[in-house]
Amino acid sequence: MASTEIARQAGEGARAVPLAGHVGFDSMPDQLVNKSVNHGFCFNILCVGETGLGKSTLMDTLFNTKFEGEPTQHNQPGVTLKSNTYELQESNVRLKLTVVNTVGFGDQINKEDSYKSIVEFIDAQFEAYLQEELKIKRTLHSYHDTRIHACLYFIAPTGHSLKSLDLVTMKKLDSKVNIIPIVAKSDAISKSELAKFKIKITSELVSNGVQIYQFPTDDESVAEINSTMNSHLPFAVVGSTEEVKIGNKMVKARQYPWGTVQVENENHCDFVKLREMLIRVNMEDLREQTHTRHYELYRRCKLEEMGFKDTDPDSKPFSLQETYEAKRNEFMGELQKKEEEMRQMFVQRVKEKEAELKEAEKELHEKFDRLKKLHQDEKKKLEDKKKSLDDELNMFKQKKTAAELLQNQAQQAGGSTTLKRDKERKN
Amino acid sequence: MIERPETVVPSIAQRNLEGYVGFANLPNQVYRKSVKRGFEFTLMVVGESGLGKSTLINSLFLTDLYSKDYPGPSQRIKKTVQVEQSKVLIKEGGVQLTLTIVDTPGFGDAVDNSNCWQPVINYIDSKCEDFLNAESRVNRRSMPDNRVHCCLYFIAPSGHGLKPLDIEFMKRLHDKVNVIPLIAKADTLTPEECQLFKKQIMKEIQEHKIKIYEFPDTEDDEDNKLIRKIKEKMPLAVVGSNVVIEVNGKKVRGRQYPWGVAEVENGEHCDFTVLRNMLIRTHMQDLKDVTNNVHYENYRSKKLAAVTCNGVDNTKTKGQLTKSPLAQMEEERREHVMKMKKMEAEMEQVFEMKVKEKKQKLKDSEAELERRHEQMKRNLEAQYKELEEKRRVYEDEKVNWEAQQRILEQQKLDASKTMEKNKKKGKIF
Repeated sequence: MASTEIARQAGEGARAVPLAGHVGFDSMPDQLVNKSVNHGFCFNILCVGETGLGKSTLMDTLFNTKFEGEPTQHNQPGVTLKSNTYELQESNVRLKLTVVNTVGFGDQINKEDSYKSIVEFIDAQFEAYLQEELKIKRTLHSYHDTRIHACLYFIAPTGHSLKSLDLVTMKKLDSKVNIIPIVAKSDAISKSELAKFKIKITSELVSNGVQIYQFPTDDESVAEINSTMNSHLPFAVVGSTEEVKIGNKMVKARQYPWGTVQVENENHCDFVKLREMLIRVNMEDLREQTHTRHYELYRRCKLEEMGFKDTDPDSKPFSLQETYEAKRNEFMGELQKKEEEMRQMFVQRVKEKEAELKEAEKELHEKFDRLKKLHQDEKKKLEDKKKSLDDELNMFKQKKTAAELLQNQAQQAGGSTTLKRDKERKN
Repeated sequence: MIERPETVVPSIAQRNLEGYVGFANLPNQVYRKSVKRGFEFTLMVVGESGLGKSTLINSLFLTDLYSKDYPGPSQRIKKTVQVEQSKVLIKEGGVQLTLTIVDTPGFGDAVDNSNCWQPVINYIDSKCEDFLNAESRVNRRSMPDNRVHCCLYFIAPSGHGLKPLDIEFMKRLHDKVNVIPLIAKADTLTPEECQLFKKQIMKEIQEHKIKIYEFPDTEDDEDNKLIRKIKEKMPLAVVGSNVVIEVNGKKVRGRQYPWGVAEVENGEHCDFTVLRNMLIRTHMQDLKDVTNNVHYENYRSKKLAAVTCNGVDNTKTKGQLTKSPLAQMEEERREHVMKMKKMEAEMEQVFEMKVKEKKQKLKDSEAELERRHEQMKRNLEAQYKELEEKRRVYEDEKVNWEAQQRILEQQKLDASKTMEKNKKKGKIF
C-alpha cells in the first residue's frame, strides 16, 4: 500500500489507529468482488477500420466464438455503426459484451465525414448515460452501460505509414474513447518491415498529438508487464477462426503454401499480447478510464453548454438546488416574457386595425356629408326655382285676373254700347 | 421490507466460448483496483447513554476508538442531542478502511425527548446533500462517500418491549438509513428472557411497519441457510468489552462477574460474533450498496422532484419523475410553445372575426347611406319633374292665354277700327 495514500487519508482528519486483533474487514474486496460477479460485467468494444481488414475475424478469434455478421461489401454510401450484444460466460464470470463495427469505413470517395458517424455514436452513448444520471428517479444500478470502453483501430498493413484518414479519425476520437491501434492482417508484413512500420506509426501519432491508450503502470502488480507491453504498441495481429494441426495440437492458424501463421504464437504475431492486455489484465482499467476520464469530459462539456456552473460570480459554490431553481426561474421568466410579447403584439395590431377602421369610417362619413351638402344645395336650388315659378304663376294669375276684369268691363261697356247701338238701330 | 432495485437482464444472444479468453480474470482486476482505492464506511450508533455504545464500537473494531486521548462522547455531559463524528484509519491484510463513527450523545437523555431524532435526521440528510452536490457538480473529482451506511440502534434491555421513543426513532429513520436494532447489555437477560424479548420486539417492529435492514438472499443455498439463521436471531443481543480476561487458559474479551465471565465472542453468551461477522465480514459492502441505491436515491429523487415541481403540484404523474429536471423543463417548454401557438391562433381568430364584423358594419352603414342618398336624389328628381311639369302647364296656359289675349286684342282692335271707320263714314247717328 502506497504510504502516500495513508498520509493523504490521515491528512483528511482520520487518525490511524492500531488494531488489537483480526477485525475482518479485509474481506471487503472479496465482498465487493462477489457482488460484481453476481451482478455481471459488461464491456463494449468498437472496431474502427476499413472494410476487409479482418475486424470481425479478430473479434471471433479474441473471444473464441462466432459472432454475427457476414462480410460487408465495399459499396456503402456512408459509415454506419452496427452493434451486437452477446452474453458470454467463462468459469463463473458473466460478461455482457457489445461489439460495434463500423460498416463502410474508408470505402467512399470523399471520406471527410467518415469520422462523424463514429463520434456521434460514441457521444450518443455518453448522452444516454448522462440522461439516465440526470433523471429524477433513476436506476443506475441496473442500467445497461453502452459506453464504448475500448476502440480498436485497425491500421492497414501497408508497411509505410498511417493514412491521413487514420490520423484524422484517431485525432477526433482520442478524447472520447480509449484508442488501441493495431496493425491488421500483419501476416502481410515481414518482421523487419514491421518494426519500422511500428516506429513510424508511433512517431506519427506522437507528432500529431494523438493520445492513444496507455496501459496503466501505477499498480505494482501489473506495472511491469504493462510498461513492457506499452513499448510493443501498436500490436500487429492476425486473426483466424480456422484450425490447423501443428504437431499433435489443433491451433488457430492461417495456412499458406509457404508456411502456417499461428495466431497464438508470439513469434508470429502480437495476438496473445493483445488478448492479455485487452482482456486479462486491463479490462477493468479500460472501463474505469472511460467512466472517470472520457465520460466526465463529455459531461463537463455538455453541462457547461447548458449553462451550468459550479460557482456563482462570487465564487461561492452553488448547491444543486440553487442551480436548478435558478434555471427554473430563468426558464419561467423566459416563458412569461414570450407570452407578454405575444400579447403586446396583439394589442398593437388591434390598435392599428382600429385606427384603420376608424379612418375608413371617418372617410365614409365625410363622403356622405359632402353628398348631403350637395343634396342640400340641390334642394335649395329646387326651392328657389319653385319659388320663382310660383311667383310667375302668381303674376300671371294677377295679370289674367286683371285682364279678365278689364275684358269684363270692356264687354260690359261694349255690351252697353252694342246695346245702345242696337237700341239705336232699333229705334 | 426495504425494496431492493431489480436488475433487469434483457434477452441477448448467448455465445459459448470455445477456448480460453481471459475475462474470468476480471474479478481479480476489480479486487486489485478496490484494494488500491481503499474503502470507507460510516457507522452511526444511537441510543441512550450508558447502554455501552462506545464499548461496543471498541469491541467491534478491536481498537480504542475512544480512549483517554480521545474520550468518547459519553464522557462528556451533553444538554442537547449532538451528533459527533470520529474518523479513524485502520489497516488489515493490505486493506485500508476509513471508518467514521457517528455518535449521538444526549439522545433520549432529556426529560422531554420530543424531536431528539431531529439532529440525527439532519445529519444524515446533510451528508446525502453533500454527496448530491458533489455528484452534481460540473467538475467532479473523486467524491468521498460520507453518507451514513448503517445505524445501530441500541435498545435498553428492559425485557418487556420497545419504548415509544424506540418506535418513534426507528419509524422516522428507516427510510433514510439502514437501521439495525440491537439489544444492549444483553448480559442482564437470561437466554429465555432474551428470546421472549426478541420475539416481542420483532412483533412490535412488524406491527409498526418498521423497515429494518434485511439481509439479501443469495443464490447459494448454503449461504441462505446461514442467513435464515441470522434472521431468526434478530434483533441481535450484544455485549461489549474492552477488557481481556483469562478464561480456561484462553485470553478472551469479556465481563467479569462474581458468578462468571460473560464472554463477548462466545456465541452462547451473546450475538456479538454474529453482529461482527454480519456487519464487517460479510455485509459491509451490501450496507453501502443499499445506502447508495435505495436510501440515497430516495433522498435525491425527493429533493429533485421538489425543485422541479417547486412543491406546488403534487399530482405529477410518476412518468414525469423518470426525466431529469432539465428534460422536464424542455418538455414544459415545448408544451408552452404549443400553448402559445394555440393562444396565438385563437387570438388571431378572434381578431379576424372582430375585424370582419367591423368591416361588415361599415359596409352596411355605407350601403344604408347610399340608399338614403339615392332615395333623396330620386325624391329630388321627382320634385324636379313635377316642377317641370307645372312650369310646362303654366307655360302652355300662358301661351294660350296670351294667344287668346292677342286674338281678343286683335278683335278689339278690329272692332274699334271698324267703329272708327263707321264713325268716319258717318254712321254715327
